[in-house]
Amino acid sequence: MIKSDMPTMFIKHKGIFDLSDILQGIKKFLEDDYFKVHFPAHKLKQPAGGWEHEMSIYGERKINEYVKFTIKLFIRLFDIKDIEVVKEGRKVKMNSGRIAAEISGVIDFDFENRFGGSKFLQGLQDFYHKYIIKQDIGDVWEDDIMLKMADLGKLIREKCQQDTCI
Amino acid sequence: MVSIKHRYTGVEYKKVTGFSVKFKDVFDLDQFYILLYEWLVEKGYVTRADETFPEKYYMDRTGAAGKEVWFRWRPKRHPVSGNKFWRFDLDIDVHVLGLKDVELVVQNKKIKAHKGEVEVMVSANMIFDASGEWRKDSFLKPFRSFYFKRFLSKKKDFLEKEFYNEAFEFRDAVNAYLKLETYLPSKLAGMEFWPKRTPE
Repeated sequence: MIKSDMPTMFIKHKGIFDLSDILQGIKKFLEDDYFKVHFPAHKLKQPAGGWEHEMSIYGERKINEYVKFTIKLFIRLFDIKDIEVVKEGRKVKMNSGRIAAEISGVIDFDFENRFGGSKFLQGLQDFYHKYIIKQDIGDVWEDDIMLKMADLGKLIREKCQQDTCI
Repeated sequence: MVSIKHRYTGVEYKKVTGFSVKFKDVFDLDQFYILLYEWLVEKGYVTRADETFPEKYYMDRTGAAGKEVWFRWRPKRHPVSGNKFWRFDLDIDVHVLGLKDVELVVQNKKIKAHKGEVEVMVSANMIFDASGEWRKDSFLKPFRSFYFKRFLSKKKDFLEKEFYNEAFEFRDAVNAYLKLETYLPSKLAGMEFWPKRTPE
């Protein structure tokens, strides 16, 4: 299996946000795009300043029989406190603190390991990558996953009421 | 017999910059440690995998005057993706002396912190031919110097400047945490997000 890693995006926010809205938004975004969402780890501790969370989320989507996208999120929250905010005349429960999100993407080629058998098959795969699907890798799939990552970043920024430029 | 040699023996490198920051007052060592770590992760020097974290030395000694802590990190990264020719080595040595636990009262709340003297020593070294391709290959070796001077000098200047700026960003991250003067606006260095040595 060959992997192609995308550059990592970092989002940081300090202030007021709705944590459950962000998490639900991420899940909905990925599921609407036919990703299967997994939450493999969620660590929680309470130092003096407020709650600290550390969570990993990833979504997987098979694009075709050969290509699979994985979008990974690593979210860290510091000094989280529950607060009540009056929004449009109504009291709403929100959180204050700091949130740092890392979004990274991976494209897995040959995730079913069809070309993993022998040297001949590996050579064939090399030829396939270099001469047959080279343009699809660079112009279609890499762009596609980068756009999805950027959209997810935009969603998190919007939920944190940050300005976005895309 | 075991021979001891410097890790840069036979390796071509250039020291881009080096600095040290010394500070003596109240601060939170845990937060400081996290800040340095997160900065390195963000810039791509290290990953979150603990087993690959380049902490080469950690010493913690308790004496009558307080704790003494040394930690040495040797993070590195390749600035051009997919190219192992260039490498940025950021050598970070942190020495903490006379560290004692203290309690601060901030907004009628007690907060645990530390008091002591911390010194951060950084050396930024740029490595050429990090993979050793040109050095080891007997066919390429004679052309090495010519190729470096003629074709790579502009790239070298560009990367050197990039590394120099990055080292200063690191310095600013340390300075911003310790509430010392910074050389970049704190928004540009991304320091608004991280806590300071004492809560405001």
